[in-house]
Amino acid sequence: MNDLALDVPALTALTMACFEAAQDDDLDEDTRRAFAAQARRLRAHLVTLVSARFAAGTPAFTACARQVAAANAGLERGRLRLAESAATIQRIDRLLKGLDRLAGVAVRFL
Amino acid sequence: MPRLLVLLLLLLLLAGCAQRDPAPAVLGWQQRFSAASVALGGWFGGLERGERELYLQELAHTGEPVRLRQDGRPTPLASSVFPPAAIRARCEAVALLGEHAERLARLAADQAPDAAATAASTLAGRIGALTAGDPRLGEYAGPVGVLAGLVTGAVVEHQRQQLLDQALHRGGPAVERLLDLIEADLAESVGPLRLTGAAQARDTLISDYNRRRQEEAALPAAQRTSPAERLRELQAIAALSQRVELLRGGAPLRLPAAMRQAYRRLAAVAGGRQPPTPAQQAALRQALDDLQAETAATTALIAPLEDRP
Repeated sequence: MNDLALDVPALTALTMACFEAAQDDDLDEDTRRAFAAQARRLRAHLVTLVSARFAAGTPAFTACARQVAAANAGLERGRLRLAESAATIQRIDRLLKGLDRLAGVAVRFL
Repeated sequence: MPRLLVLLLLLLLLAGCAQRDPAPAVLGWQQRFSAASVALGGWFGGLERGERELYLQELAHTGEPVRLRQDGRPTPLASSVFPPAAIRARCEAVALLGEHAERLARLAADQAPDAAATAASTLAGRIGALTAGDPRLGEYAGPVGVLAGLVTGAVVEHQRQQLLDQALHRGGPAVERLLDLIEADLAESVGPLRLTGAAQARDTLISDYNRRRQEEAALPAAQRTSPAERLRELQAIAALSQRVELLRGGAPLRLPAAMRQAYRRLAAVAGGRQPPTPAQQAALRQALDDLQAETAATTALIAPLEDRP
């Protein structure tokens, strides 16, 4: 992984320098064309390097994503528990409304 | 004073009666963080399409035949340039970030403590009415109701605070680590590809433009490209030049940095024991504004090559 990290910036800088030379009016046409061709070949190598880096770095992403997913599941469970606390009180309240009505009926019979 | 009332007062003190109003900025945080996650996903998700576009542009420029295989390897038309699993893992990780933002903000802004307080007050009042037969108990129905509501609200609020603390404790390091990985990818992989890709596209446009002008020099004026059309071509070159400069200046890294700042500001607001201070709320709003600006800039930067003026 460290070798790849050193190659990519150097390759990028070289590729960019070649693209800029390809449009440098101080150079003759043939030289500019040569730089343009070299820039494209260098970029093709850069793509290959980056592709390899992507494959190498994927396990770290996957592991980290698992942790975030676990945290997300915990958040959802927590939010449901919180809603349940309020809902429980409301359920008891509805139960007592029923008892209210029963108490009112019972009083009339006393 | 009845023992029930004393007990409720003690519970009130223990539970901490600081009712936390969800900062209005928290509610906007989730939307902006999620939008930023979508834009961030575009850095990775658009890589394959970007390489295919570059390949086709190159063919159009050189006039070379279309191939599915060249120089011993598949061309971007025949095969994925990047491992699909690698792209997918990054896009899914970024999507999880957005989901984390949504759930964190939802928990932080949850109205459950207030709903519980209201329900508890109503409940206590109803209990009081049922005990109205005893004059001593009946007298305390009103204040008991208020206190019960406050205590219940404080208890549920305390639950919420604990859940937020747990979420930030478990999720915070994972979110920060994920942003670290994303930043490294953008700095060392995606950024260089996008930069050199924009440079190649610009080189192609410039070469095409100069070649057409050379070819047209021998033609009568009426057969040459109009000034308006030439201007459109030059504007496309200018747009690519701007893109090159933005990418060279580290533009890819500003979005995850803004996301990190917004996340830390939310954690400071949501995880505090006291209601957020005006300074904390202002800092969160500033972080959200920065995040929105960087999201817009990133969306413009990762737009397909054909989206040119």
